[in-house]
Amino acid sequence: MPQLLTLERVVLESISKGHNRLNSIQTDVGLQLSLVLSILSKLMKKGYITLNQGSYQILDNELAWKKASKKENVKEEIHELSESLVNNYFSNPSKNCLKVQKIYLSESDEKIFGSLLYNLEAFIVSLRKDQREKGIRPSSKDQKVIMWGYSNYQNILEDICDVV
Amino acid sequence: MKEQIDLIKMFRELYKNPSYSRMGSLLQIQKTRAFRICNGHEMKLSEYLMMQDLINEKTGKSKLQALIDECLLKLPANKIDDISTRCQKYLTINSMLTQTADISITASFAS
Repeated sequence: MPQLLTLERVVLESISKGHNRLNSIQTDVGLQLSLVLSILSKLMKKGYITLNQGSYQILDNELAWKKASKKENVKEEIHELSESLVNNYFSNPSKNCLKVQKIYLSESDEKIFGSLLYNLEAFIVSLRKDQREKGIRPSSKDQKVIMWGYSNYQNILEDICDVV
Repeated sequence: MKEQIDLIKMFRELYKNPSYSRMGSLLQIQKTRAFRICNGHEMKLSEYLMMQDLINEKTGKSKLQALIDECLLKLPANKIDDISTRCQKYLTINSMLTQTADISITASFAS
């Protein structure tokens, strides 16, 4: 599979944050040790990481990273995340958040909405910077996955009809 | 033998761990024969096919196969790609998760 699975991505993120030992990676991502081993083995085969004296390191493999960054492959990763986000909400609405709205936005409304989204992104960027400066290093598994976006209803309907 | 082990495992899961007596009745064999095939004796082809059919009934596998054939006929290439990418993803995750499960099943059959 050319794209990175979410399971593989979280392990890579963990290693890039400095968790290089198996137990440290496992604690950080919160998955079963055997599954983490399996993921690490797949990542080594795909050329993303290497193992050196018990320490996993990200490899500077341009070919592998280029493949993972291809638009179709990133799209698949995001599909996977969004599907799980929806599943999680419906299996436990009190602990998760999901909002879907359909509304007409005039040009000025869209500008206001755009600036609200810009503020949201700025908030997250500053939060990340703040945590880095304060040395706050939460586990990967304790992070929230946040997603937002919008599209024209017509474009969505056309995409759904793209089956001929 | 691995195929037999996997098949019996799936059968037991789908039929909620049937007794050897019930298993024998479903497969139209003696319960002692059911005991033997669950404990390492090689299945006959007829037993294997019967078990496969019983599994297909429960899982609607034959319905799925017909659906796939229809998709291949009617859907455009990009949608077929989407479906196969999704199936491949599920299978990859399944293989990552079941690698360790295999160790425990082999151990239980060996004892």
